[in-house]
Amino acid sequence: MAIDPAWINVAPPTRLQSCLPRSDTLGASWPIYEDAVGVIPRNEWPGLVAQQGRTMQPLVRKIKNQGQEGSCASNGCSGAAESLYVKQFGPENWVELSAMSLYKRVASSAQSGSTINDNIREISTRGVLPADNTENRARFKHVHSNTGFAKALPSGWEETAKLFRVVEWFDVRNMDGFISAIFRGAPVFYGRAGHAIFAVSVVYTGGEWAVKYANSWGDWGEDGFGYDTESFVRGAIQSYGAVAPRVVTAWDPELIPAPP
Amino acid sequence: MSRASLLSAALLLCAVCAAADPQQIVITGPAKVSTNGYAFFSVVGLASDDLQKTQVSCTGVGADGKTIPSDTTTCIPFTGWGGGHTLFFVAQSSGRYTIAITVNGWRGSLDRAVDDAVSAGIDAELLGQLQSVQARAAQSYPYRNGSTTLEVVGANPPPPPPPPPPPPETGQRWLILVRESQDDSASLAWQIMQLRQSEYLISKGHLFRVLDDDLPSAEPWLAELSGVSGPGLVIAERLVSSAGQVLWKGPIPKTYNETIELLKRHGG
Repeated sequence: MAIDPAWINVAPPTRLQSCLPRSDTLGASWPIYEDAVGVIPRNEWPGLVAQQGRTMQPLVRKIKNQGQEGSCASNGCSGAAESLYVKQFGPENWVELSAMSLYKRVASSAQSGSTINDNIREISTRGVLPADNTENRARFKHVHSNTGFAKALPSGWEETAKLFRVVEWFDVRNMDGFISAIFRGAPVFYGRAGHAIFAVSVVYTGGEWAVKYANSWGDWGEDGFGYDTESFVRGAIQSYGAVAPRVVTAWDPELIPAPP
Repeated sequence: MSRASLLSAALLLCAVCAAADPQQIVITGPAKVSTNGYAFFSVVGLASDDLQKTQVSCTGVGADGKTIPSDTTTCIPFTGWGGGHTLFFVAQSSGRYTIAITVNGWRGSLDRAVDDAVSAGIDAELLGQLQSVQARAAQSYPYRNGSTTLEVVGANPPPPPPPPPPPPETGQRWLILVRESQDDSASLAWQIMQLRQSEYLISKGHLFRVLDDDLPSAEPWLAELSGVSGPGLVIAERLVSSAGQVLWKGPIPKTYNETIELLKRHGG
């Protein structure tokens, strides 16, 4: 299926440019992917892409919508976490997460924006709350909406948020590591052009390698997804940061049965 | 059996008693033989027609003090060309063996007759007379018997293979993959995605979990997979809220199709 050029290398409008440049240094908090794991040689990429269905897109159960707030990095972070939960524990245990419960801790206002590394630090240590919906209200003690910076977090939120943590990440140095991580089953949460999203698959389009990402603009693009080419992303990796989450905690002990 | 015929039988047996040969039986042969090696023993003291009223036993005790199963030993007496008696012996297991020969002849017939009379519930007076005859016969004409021992040395045969496990009942299964996520290859990542979306797993009610070995909650399954290097898979019964019997564990097969075939072979 041909990719609509309208959804390739889309920069956000100025009012939504809210992914801030990283405030730490590459490898300061997490192992560097290329060093710890290594990269898949480029001559193997065509064969991997050719296999139909080699994509993590089915792990994305719902496209997020940040509304008019500058919470793209928190949406990308919690969206990537959701996809890992689906990967580890199955779609039957998917829990929609509240990006705002993260954003409120890493931003100073609805439009201030946030860095990728601040979001990772928070979701790794204190976690993220489930989104406020009927199902989650019935299951969890604390929930929070996905938008609305002015709304306070529920009292005692830490108790529930700590159940939803992404505990292991890789810091990605370059495009070769970025693509390799996706081929090896890790979504990549990254920033470019003042906007943060997370990539779920690799494509080759217009003579160039590209990634398909889940956006947080609701009904937008190709069912909520867009594409970034290598040339569009390359320079942004080190300025904004690109990270590959790989382990999430089990929010319920019964997600993992005990051996007999 | 009537009272008259019982007494007649007893008197007849007593008449045979007088002609009985009290000679004991002597068994001679090698003191040591290797496992599965043949041994022949000379048996002296048997009359020409004694073989049909002879009991032979070969009992062995292994180095562990346990009785060796009788079906691993063969012990057969036979009459040779010259009319002498020989005993053929072979054993599969090492240990110390005792070969015993007992000729019960008419004494055996008498003992069986008394046993039959007891079972038949004949009158006490006649039974008493029979038992008295039996006791006198036992005192005057003990069974003729003889025994010898030998050592069987050498390697024991490999234990018989365990019986094949019963085919598993079909039912819902857990598939639990435990691995270091840092080591995920592109092919494993692809298989995980295929299993995650598998219509087959969904239609059968099987559940699939993907665990990093660093997760505390993965520890029990990591222990279950001890000795398995690389990504390990456990197939277990899926009970209502827990895992039942582990049906298979080992390295995850290389492809999705191989994993599904493995699952099917274990009732899934």
